[in-house]
Amino acid sequence: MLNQEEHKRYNRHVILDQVGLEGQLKLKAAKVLVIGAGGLGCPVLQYLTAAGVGTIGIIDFDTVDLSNLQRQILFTTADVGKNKASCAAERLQQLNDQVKFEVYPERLTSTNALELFAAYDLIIDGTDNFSTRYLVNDAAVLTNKPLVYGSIYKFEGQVSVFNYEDGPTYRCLFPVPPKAGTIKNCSEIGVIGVLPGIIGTQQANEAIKIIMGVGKPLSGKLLIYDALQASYITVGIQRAEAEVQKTLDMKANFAQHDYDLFCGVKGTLEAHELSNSVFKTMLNDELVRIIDLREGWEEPQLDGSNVERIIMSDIQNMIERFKTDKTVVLVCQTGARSNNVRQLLKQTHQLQEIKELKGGMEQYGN
Amino acid sequence: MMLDLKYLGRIVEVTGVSNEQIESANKMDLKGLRELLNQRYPNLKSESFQIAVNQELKSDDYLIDRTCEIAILPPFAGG
Repeated sequence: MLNQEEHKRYNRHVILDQVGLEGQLKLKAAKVLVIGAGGLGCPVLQYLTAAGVGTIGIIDFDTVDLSNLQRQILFTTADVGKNKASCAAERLQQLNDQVKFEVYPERLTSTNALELFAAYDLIIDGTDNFSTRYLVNDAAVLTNKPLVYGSIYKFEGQVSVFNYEDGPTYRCLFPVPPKAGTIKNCSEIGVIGVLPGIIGTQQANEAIKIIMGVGKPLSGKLLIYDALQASYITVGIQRAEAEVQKTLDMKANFAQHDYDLFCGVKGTLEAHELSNSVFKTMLNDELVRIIDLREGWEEPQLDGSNVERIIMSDIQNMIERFKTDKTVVLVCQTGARSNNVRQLLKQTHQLQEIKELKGGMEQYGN
Repeated sequence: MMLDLKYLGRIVEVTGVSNEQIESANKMDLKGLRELLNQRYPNLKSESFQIAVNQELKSDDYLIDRTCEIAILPPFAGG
């Protein structure tokens, strides 16, 4: 049943033939888990809350950063430093006090995912890295929940519905993650602020369609949006039973599965790569020069008596500074810039011994 | 036959163009197309991507035997 306030609040839904009171009651009974309250998660959460989804779970370990506000529309300048999941729930409760929020200010891991997913009807992926995307897919398959997928890159977005009524899964589309050293994220490459708004809103629409049982979910198809050309293309995807089986086979030992290892984010170190612990011993060592390739505003800051900063745009003019008898260690945010600079120094300037912090400052201290 | 190629995501940064047409005298499977593209753009070797033919995702043994539209789809994970 809807109370009087809800009748008024959801009137524009209820008067739609395809929705009616029945559709609105389905939304009210639904439990949706949103993974990540970032660029995609914010618009997803805003529309699901406005639409009257009864229970919304929000999981995000991260805190609001000033550089998030260009696209993460639930947050204000005063929220910088606060946990995203709690902060989003607080804001959303003001939008709709009829919705029940479950807040998880923690990381999604292979240890907590299955139990968490089991408590919901539908999962929405708003994460920002491959490790978590494969984890989300596998946990959705193992708990048999439909998964609304969205992903963004610069001016381009992808949307699909996975694991819906025996449809394809994320692994049927991308069976293996890309090589770790080649991956960059929004903080390295930039993203146009409205893009996650467009893609996240489409994810919310797919979720609402699935809950209400109206229209045709975007299952078996990948929708690709190009914001520069304002064009969409749709690509058909088939379910690959062998890929789905790989996930099903993980069930017994799921908690032991290491997605960072699978995605190559951690694992064996190459000769030029330094682990966190080795890197830590090199801080303040006078025989080492640590070169931070990041802009001054990037966090966390790196402090040490032997840390100097050379930003990317200055590299070409600063080549001499890399020529030294000391051990040179490059550091950036995710390891992408340090890898590029190391390659440049090796190939163009024959500097063979340059080291880098694997995974960059983003994983340092985690 | 004419291959009407569309590059997406970061693949565009390797190829420098988002669309191009390549004429091929021979039939080839998608494994062959990957080799052809790797020769044309050596930096593609380190990139991961899936291939769609006429708007359908296909596996590497799929044979291209006529003019078609091909989309080169990299995974990306931003959110």
